[in-house]
Amino acid sequence: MPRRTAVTGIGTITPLGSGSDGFWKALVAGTNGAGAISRFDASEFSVRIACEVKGFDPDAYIDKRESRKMDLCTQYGVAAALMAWKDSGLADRALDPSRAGVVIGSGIGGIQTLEDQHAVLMQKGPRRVSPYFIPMLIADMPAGMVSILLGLKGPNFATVSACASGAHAIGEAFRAIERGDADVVVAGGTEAAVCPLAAAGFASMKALSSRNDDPLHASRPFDAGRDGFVLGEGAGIVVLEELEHAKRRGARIYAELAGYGATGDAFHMTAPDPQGAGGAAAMALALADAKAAPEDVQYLNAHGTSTPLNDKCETEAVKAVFGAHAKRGLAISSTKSMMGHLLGAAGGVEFAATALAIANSAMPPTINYEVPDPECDLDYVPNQARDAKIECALTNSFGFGGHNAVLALRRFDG
Amino acid sequence: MASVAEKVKQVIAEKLQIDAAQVTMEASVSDDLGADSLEQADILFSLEDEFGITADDTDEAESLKTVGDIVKYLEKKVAA
Repeated sequence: MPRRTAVTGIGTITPLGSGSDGFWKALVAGTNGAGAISRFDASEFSVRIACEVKGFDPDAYIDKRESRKMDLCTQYGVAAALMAWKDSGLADRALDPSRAGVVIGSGIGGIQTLEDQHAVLMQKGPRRVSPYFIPMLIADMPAGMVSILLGLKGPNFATVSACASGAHAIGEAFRAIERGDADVVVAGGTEAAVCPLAAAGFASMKALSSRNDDPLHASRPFDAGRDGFVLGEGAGIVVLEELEHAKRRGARIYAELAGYGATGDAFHMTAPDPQGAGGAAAMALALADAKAAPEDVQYLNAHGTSTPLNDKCETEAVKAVFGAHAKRGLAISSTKSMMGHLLGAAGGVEFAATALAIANSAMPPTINYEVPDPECDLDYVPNQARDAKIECALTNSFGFGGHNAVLALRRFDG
Repeated sequence: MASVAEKVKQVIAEKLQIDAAQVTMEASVSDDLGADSLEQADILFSLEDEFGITADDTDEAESLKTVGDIVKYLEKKVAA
């Protein structure tokens, strides 16, 4: 009997809200998380808008003595992981710690810390660089800290694949359970890159929307007027659990994680393959892995960044994989329209959104969809959430470097 | 220079998130207050900043065990 994987816990920190219920309510309400950057003075920047997490208090989750040694990126990841753990009910259960792992990805790691400590080096010299600089910087520390705080001694690592990091983390965690390396894995992504250095870098790439005067309409995936993504931040972490393990303890199961497909574009540093071939191949692999036909899929949570290229190429890729079903029966939405692009955390929060969509029988909308683009001619669940029973869903994540990770989920009825 | 002792206690209490009353002159920073090697380095760097000194005599700085040792060391450096 192949080992199957259930989603039994969800934790998020996002610009829309946190947790499982709060996050879901904000998604179906079409909440808009964008606004002027408040984290730092962005008045000299060409891009001055972002989707920031508001009111995050690390003390609510982490002992102060520990939290002050963590970059915000680690704090978000740890907070979301602790939430997911509590949500799973495993906190109250006896568990073999050697069978429980942690895989949490981040695109960049502690970039705010890098920026701060570089300033210290320049202004005060090498002796003043913090002993916590390296532990706060490295992108594997969220996974490390979660294992320390929860006492989990199974497989433990980070994935780094830019905006696919969170999805790869969940996919590799799924494989670890399937192989039998672990029974439980805390998995997802975290990112905290709303800082001057990262914002300047993404702006220089011309990857960001420059609708500085109208942030509420800046993230508009698949709309003809889209002009780039809006920088987001936060974390999305889930508890994955071997299905029989979950059933034995009577766990609530949001959905089954049934398939994973991972490919590389082998095309360009930042631009997607024009036909979306790499993304299409990853979707096809995830479907085959889940033993699902294209017609079995009702919902796709798109990568949908709101950049001119991604949304066009992703639409091409969907058509290549789904054929006639792409226009007849498949609903697609980009939750980045609401919360911006969470980079390495995107795959985590979007997987959480997809599992919640299945559990709640509803599809979150693509907000700001106003002017159809002839090159993006599918059903993007425009502006209003839609009630729909979802048997099977996909979530796409693509990263700079040409990394593609697609996860397939199925409804679980027991 | 009673203020050196007060300042040292304050920095240690803040860094380790403990009650200042626990930071007695006799307390060993590692054994009694539980500071690991990174926390000890962090405390020393903060004190360097606070007092505008450089603890570049590494052997002596690394031999400091108790809060009192640190206070004595800093009083000497500040006076120098």
